Parts: sequence; C-alpha cells; structure tokens
Amino acid sequence: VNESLASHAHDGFPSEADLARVEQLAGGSLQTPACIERTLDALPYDHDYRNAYSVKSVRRALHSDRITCIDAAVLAYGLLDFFPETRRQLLAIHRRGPDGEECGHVVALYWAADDRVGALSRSSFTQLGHRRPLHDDPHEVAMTYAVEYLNVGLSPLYYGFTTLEEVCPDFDWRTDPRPMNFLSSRIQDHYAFRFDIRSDRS
Amino acid sequence: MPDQDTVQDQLQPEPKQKAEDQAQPIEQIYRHGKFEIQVREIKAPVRPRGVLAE
Repeated sequence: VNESLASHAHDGFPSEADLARVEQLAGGSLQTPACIERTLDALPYDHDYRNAYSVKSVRRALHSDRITCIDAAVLAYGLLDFFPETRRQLLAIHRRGPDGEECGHVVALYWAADDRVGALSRSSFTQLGHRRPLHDDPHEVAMTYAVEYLNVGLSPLYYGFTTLEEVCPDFDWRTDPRPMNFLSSRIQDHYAFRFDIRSDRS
Repeated sequence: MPDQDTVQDQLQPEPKQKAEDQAQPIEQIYRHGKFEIQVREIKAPVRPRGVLAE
C-alpha cells in the first residue's frame, strides 16, 4: 500500500515521515478509506480550542498530539488522497446551545464503491464520530448528526457541503505549517440548508 | 444516550425524494422521537456565530 500512496503524492505529501506516522497511528497500513477512522481515533481531541484555535494542514494535524474536528476533517480528506478513486467532500453542520452559544462540526465524507456515503470524524461528542458508508446520500449523513445534537439538547441550524479544493485554492492545505483559521468561515460560507425543528410535546 | 445504530434506525424519511426530484429544493420531513425535522434550502447567505471545532 505504501508504494501506492507514494505514487499519488501531492506537493510532497505523503513523505516517508508522513507514511510512518499514519501507520503508527492506524496500527498498520490503510487498506480502505474506513481504515482512516483508526488514524483519527488515535489522536486525542483538543479541548483547548477556545484558547488556542489553530486550524492545521494535513501534515500538521498528522504530526500533532491533539486535534479538533476541523483538523480531523482536513486530515481525513487528505488521507483520502491515498484512494484516488474515492469521491470525497466536506460536510459542515452548525448548532446552537440553550445558552445561545453557536458552534459547528465538520467531517470528511466519502463514497464507497457501492456509492453509499460514510463520514470520517473526530469530535468532543462521541455521538458525532464516524459514520459507516451505509447512507444513500450526504443529506442522510447530515441528518444523523442533527439528531445527535437534538439528543443532547442542542439545536441543529444549518449544514452544507464543499471541498478543500474549493475553499482553499490559495494555500497548500496538505503541508503548510501555518494556521489556516480562515477555513472555518470559508467552509461555513457553504451552508446551503437549514433545519426547521418542531417538537410535538412543546 | 442512544448509540449510532439506534438513532439511525429511528430515522424515518418521508417521503423519500425521487431521483428526478434531486435538483429541486429539499423539503423532506424526518421524524425522530418527539421531533419533526424539515430540511429547507437556504435562499440567502447565513453567517452563524462560532467556529468549526466541535
């Protein structure tokens, strides 16, 4: 698999050190897109993002010891380079809490060979984790995250789809060592759908 | 807290969009427990507060 990965290198990614780190985190080589789950799961979630928000490139996230959801989405999207036949997108979803605080989650979507859709995700909420490639379309995946927000008392607001090629044409999102915090707002610019929630017991 | 499979089993889209309707605005209704969730296409740009970090 490593030879296959190296043959699909983009802008110097993956390097030998990148490949070694992937295998270290995943406990072996990535045989399928779903194996990327193990890489993300091996990286602890960064609970300190409110004090030190710093969106990472694929390489920076890969070699980091903590990541947020957006780091994980960028990392997973980049690792999907290893499967060039696999279609991929980003899904972002926004929510509001009972205290009025708003925050968003973003994941990397991928299409399996049977055209079913799954998601690769890292989150502070375990319920917002990966989705197996069992879904008919990306809207159905978005709905699974929306209902989990409802289950914990948060209101899902918006969601949308984009790609890193679309939102980051001016930055090397695979290898740049600098923070890419602008990605958060650029991805949010692609919110294209909203949730109307009604409760029959309200 | 219900696990992922339980939650996904409870999703009941109605009605499922026909393939020929895919280009039309989405107006599906999902039922999840006491909640009725309707998805609508946003007509104007939105600018929510907060970052993508969850």
